[in-house]
Order: sequence, then structure tokens, then C-alpha cells
Amino acid sequence: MQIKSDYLIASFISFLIHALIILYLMDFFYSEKKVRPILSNPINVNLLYKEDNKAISKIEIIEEKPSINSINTIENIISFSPKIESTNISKLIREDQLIKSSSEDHQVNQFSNMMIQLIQSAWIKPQNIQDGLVCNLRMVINKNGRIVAVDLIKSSGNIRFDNSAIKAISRVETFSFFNEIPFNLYQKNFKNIVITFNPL
Amino acid sequence: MKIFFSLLFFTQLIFSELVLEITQGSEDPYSIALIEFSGSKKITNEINSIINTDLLRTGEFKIFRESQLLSIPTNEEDIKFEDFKLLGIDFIITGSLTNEDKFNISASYQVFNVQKEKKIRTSKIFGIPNKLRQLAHYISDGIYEEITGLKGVASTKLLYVTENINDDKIIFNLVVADSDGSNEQILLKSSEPIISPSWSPDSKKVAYVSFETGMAKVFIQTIATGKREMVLENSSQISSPSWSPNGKFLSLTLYQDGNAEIYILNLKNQNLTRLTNHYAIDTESSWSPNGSKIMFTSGRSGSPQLYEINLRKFSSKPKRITFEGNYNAKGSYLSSGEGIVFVHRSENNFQIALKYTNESFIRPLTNSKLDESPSISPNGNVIIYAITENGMSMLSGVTLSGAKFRLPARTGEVREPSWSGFLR
Repeated sequence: MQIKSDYLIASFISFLIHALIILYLMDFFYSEKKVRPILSNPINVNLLYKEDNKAISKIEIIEEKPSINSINTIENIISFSPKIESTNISKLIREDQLIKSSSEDHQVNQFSNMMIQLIQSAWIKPQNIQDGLVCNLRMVINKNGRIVAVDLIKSSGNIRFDNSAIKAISRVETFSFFNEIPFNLYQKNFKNIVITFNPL
Repeated sequence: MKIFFSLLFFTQLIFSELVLEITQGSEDPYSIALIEFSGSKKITNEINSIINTDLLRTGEFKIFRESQLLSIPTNEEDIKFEDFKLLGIDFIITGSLTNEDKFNISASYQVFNVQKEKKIRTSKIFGIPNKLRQLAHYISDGIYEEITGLKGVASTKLLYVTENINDDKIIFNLVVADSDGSNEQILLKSSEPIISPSWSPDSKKVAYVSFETGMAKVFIQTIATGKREMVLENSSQISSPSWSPNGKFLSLTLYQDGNAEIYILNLKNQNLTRLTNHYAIDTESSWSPNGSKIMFTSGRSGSPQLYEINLRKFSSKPKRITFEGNYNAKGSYLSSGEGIVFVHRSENNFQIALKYTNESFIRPLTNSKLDESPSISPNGNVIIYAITENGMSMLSGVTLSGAKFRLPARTGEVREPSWSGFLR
């Protein structure tokens, strides 16, 4: 009885080995690894000073015209008035906060769009690079709108693409409309910004 | 019966005036101020002009010479960055040359970032007085790498075949030269054709096919010593040997049974393995950067198209990779493996084109009439190819960013360029 079970185990193991070999020959385990080697290191852009990265807002740069109806939305938001019938104070305060925050969101949107437009117009997309490249840059901007540091945080794998993004930022140099941004909004959202270059 | 052939195995130098033509620049160049290197006028003139043309040839720079500047700094503290900002200059390059002793020259150079108002690179390199050109190429490569992040190719070499008519006899030369076409050295001189030269992956040897005895023979020649070794001979034709990335195999085209097929030659034991088997022509093989695939030109679909065969896969069949037009041939892989460069016919023009593997369309890089034999620089950014214009063939280059340059032939025809790897 003992011998029989040994035979069983042995034939099972042998079956497994043969099955593996056959699967291997049928290219079952073959997979094409997709690696995108970086030919050489990206340019080091040294930060002049580093802020804490707590408040990082993300802006996506896409090659399409930003919506022009931002002015219309201002009106929409202004027309959104709280109902006065209600006497509940806490409810009023809550609504007040809601308006405030939504107008804040709106402002952030508006300024981001302006930034995107400026960077887009400064960006010259390199010729003959493949589709689907994306890179992330971090900018540190001071209150006057001057870009004090640019940092490549995610390379696209194509150095010419990365360089063109860095060049675009350094060409912009200063966002002149930054003095219109309220100080707390600047502190919260615009000090430290990550930009994604993702051409369509 | 006597067989005449003349061979020169020692390397021979040709001195000639270099004519370099930059026909087009990149669309988005860096503006740089090139301050002339200081030092004794005898050597600085040559160095300055070589660096200038090296940088221009990359197509990535718009160069401001001293006459175009507002102020010329004489030392580091002296730089008035404001003067450079006004002109929109991104980088300043300064340098100096010193004769250390009779046999040594040292060059030190600095790159300044104008916007940040600070020095981003200082380098010092040593050279010997009769190799000033090489020293200048190294300086150019350092500057190029600092600014663009890509390794420079000014200090790499080119290999090509020239054809001259001398006393009604055609002389074929196998030539190795600097990447700007200067400093030509003849590796082999023959009255019979030499074809398909290619560099070994370590850039120390070259392989080529020579018909010097009437037989097709594949030779491997060491550049430094000039010694050569025959690795294969055949009474029928052999063409396009191509090295595997590990340097252990050569893929080549043999016409053994009257039809062109791709074979792989093991350089250790000289074993030949047949790779393709089709009644149509299969030729012009090249290896992918990681050695897992071989690409070749095949007529199996009725017109020349590029096919790829996967060597790692068991019982792999050739896969067609070009579908645009009715002529796509002589493909080679980009060093990143992300795409291929090949000759494409559009209407009646043969042009160099690029295709990325994740894209389903091709990108033409040139627009002349008859472009042949593209070879990619080791940094993957420049393609050198042979063009024929007014019945003359010469070498021309194009960068992926769209800059173009030419290396006009001094005499005769120039064919089949092959770009070396990095040499240090």
C-alpha cells in the first residue's frame, strides 16, 4: 500500500513537471517586458529654497483651449443667494461658508486657467517625440508670481520632452497676475504647484 | 591567372580642409554665449572654431559670438548677467587653455546659467598638443551634456566606404573618421568592392564584407592594431553583417541556395544558424538594443517591408512592423528601443523615416530625393545617412529635433555610414 501511494505522488510530480515544460514551450510564461530606459539623467534644476510640500495643488496641462466661459460662471455664483426665510443662524453660517468656499474654488480655477494658458503659450512641443509622454514638474512661486524653483518630479523617460517642459516654465518666469490673488489663497494653493505636461 | 588587388593594412592619414554645412537648426534652440577660450593664440583659434562648429552641428544651440555681446567677461567675477539677460541668453561658456608642459595641454571650462546667475559646471580635461581636435570634441560634449542632459557625440567616430576613380581604376576605401568627417583614417584599400561596414558594440572592432579575392569574405578588423581576421567566406554573395549587442554573434545575409536569407554566425565557434526560410528576399538584419529581436527587410508581402523576429520566444514567426507605402527597408532600432528608423519611399522619393512602436504612423525626417543607409548616433538623437545629389553621394545628418547638417565629400562617393558607440 505504501509503495502505491509513493507511485501516485511520483507520477503526480512528474505530470506537473511535464505540464510546466509543455506550457513553457507554448510560450505560456513569455511576456514582453515594457521598459522605458532613460538614456541619461534629466537636468538637475536646483531649488533655491524649499517650502514644505503640504499644500500642493495639481494642475493638468492639456493641449486644448481652456474654457472661456469662466466669466459666466462668476455670474452664476453671485446669483446663488441664500434663502432668507430661514432663521436658523447655524444654517445661515453654513451657507455662508458654502458660498465662500465655492467662490474660492472658482477663484482657484480661474487663476489656474490663466497659468495654464501662459505656460501653454510658452511651451514648444519638441518634434518627433512619441505620443503618450507625460511628465510632472513642481514649481515654487513667490507672492509676486516669480517662479523661484522648478523641479522635475516625474520624468517622461524622454529627455527632450522633459527639457521642453522645463524650458517652457523658465520662459514664463513670472505670473504677473499673482498680485490679484488673495494672500490666504496663495498660501493655500499657489505657493507650491505640480504641473503635468500631457499633450493630446 | 593573376589576381590583382592592393591592400593597405596600416592606417593612413589624410589631411584636408573640412567643409561643414549646417542646413537647418532646431525649432527651439538654447541661446548660448560662447566666450573665446583664453590661452596662446596658436592653439585657441583652432579649439574655439571646432567647439563652435561642434555645438552648431547638434542643432540645439543658437550661438552668440563675442562680437554680438554687450560685455565680454574676462574672469568669473566679471560677468554682468544683466547684459546677457537682455539678449535672451540662457547659458554662458568660458574657458582657458594652458600648456602644462611640452606634451600636455589642459583645458578648463565653465558653464553659467544666466537666469540663476550661477556657475553650473566647471571641468578640467587634459590632452596632447597634436590631438587638439579630440580635446575640443570632449569640451563640446561636456557643454552639450550639461545643457541638454543628453550625452554628446562629437567625440564619437564614423565608419564609411568611399569610392574613388584613380587612373581609370575604381578604388574602394574603408574609412574611419571623427563625427564631423575630419581626421580620416583609411582602414582598408581595395580594388574590389567593400560593403556593409559596422561597428562592434564596444567600438573597438569593425566588421565588413570584402570581395577582394573574388569571393565574398566577412572580416573583423581591430581599429587600434589594424589586424584583421576572416570569419566567413562564401562563393556566393554575403551582405550586411550586424553585431549582436553582446558582441558574440553576427547576423548576416547569405545567398547560399540562390535566395537571400538571414543567418546568425556564432563568433566563438563559427557555427551558422539559419533564421529565416522564405522564397522571397530576406536581408539587412539588425538587432534590438537588448538583443531579443532581429529586424530585417523582406519582400514576402510583395514589396520590401520591415519584419521583426523574436529570438527569446520559442518557435517565433516573423512579424510585419511597417505597413505604410510600398517600400520600407534598412531598419535600425533607436537605442532606447522605443522605435525604428528606416528608409521609406513616398511617391518617388526615398527618405529617412521614424516609427515609434506604440504608434501606427510614420514620421518622415528628411525630404530629399534619394536617402540611404541611416545609422543612429549612440545618444539616439542624430541619424547619419548617405544622400545622392546631382549624381554625387555624400553624408548628411538629421537630429530628431529637426536640425540638419552635411558632411560634403572631398573626392569621390561616400556610402554606408555607420556610427560608433561612445568611446569612453
